[in-house]
Amino acid sequence: MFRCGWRLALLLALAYCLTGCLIIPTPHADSGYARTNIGQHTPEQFVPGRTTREDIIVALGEPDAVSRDERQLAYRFEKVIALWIVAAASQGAGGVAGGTIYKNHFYVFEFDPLGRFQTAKQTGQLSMVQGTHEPLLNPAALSFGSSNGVAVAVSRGGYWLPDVDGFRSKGAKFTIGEPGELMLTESNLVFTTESQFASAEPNLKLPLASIVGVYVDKYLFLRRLVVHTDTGTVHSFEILQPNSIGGVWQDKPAMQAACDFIQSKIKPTQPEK
Amino acid sequence: MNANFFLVLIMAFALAGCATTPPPLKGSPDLLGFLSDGKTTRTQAIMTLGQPSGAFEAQRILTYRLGFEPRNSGYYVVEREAVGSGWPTWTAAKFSLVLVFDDAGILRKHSLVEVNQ
Repeated sequence: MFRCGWRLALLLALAYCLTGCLIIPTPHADSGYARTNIGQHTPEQFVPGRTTREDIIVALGEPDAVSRDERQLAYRFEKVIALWIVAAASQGAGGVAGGTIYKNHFYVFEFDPLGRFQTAKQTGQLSMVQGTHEPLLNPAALSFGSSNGVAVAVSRGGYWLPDVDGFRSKGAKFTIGEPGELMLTESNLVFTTESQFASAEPNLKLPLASIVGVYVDKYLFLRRLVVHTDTGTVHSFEILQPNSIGGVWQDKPAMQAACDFIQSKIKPTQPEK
Repeated sequence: MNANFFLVLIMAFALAGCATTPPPLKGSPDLLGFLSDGKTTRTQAIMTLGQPSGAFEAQRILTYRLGFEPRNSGYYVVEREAVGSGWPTWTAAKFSLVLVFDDAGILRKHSLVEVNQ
């Protein structure tokens, strides 16, 4: 054991002398930044097709990331696996820099439309900055069904008209909304304007539970999706056809399907005890 | 004279370290005492704990991040914090409180998960 340690030290010293860069493996330890209640065997406690999203959140706690359709939950843990040291010398002057090498581990749990656990995928990436390299969630994967059962794509380009009640508000017929992307999830209606990064907080995030009324308003050949919230605010949206050139062709079936979807999520108000 | 002065100065400097007061207790041991499955409403939970750090399935599931004060075994709510990459960290929070409500907004079950050991 002692001789082996000597050889390792000699090798490391030799590597350092030859390259000026030294990497020292360390016992894998939690970085202190990420959660520690996730491990290699975590997914084994869940049964595909039977375990629900609720079961997993109850067991593991708040996830670290959620796709916008809530069909993917990500849990992250992070280990320190090595230290690095770099020495630089130049004409008598020199310097030494060092740091920590982390390994990020992600478990992404995937669910079917009914919220039943399907699979858990693990990814892991090395990093010299803690917290980087996230897995690619699929944020816009949700399809929602219209009342006639036709699945309709979501996450669509469109216009948002805040404080506009369809075509009924004063001057509404001539109002042009903010362009961006409308997204419907199981819990929220989200609108992100074009001026924002997709990963940024959306400009509008309405919990479906806060919507008390929804309808499609009509004016000549135009349509607008209108939602009223429990705080008295109103928002209108126009959904465009995919690849609509110039953003002018409305997708009327999509607006009707979105209306049906939101309607299905609105529950009769029950007073809390 | 000078030696005495320096001695007093050193003594004062050494004692100053002993005179610091401990930080005030942050947590409340009975913060979660109001939670009762089958009775507590969503409104009561939000009134008591504030806005949740996470909400899922149309707010049927709410999550809170809790810090822990070992001196009095107290809990306190902490906000979701993230590193530059956008990933949240769990340095301030030790527990994740998960509240599951039924369709009427009544607490059906809850769990306190030790996230950061």
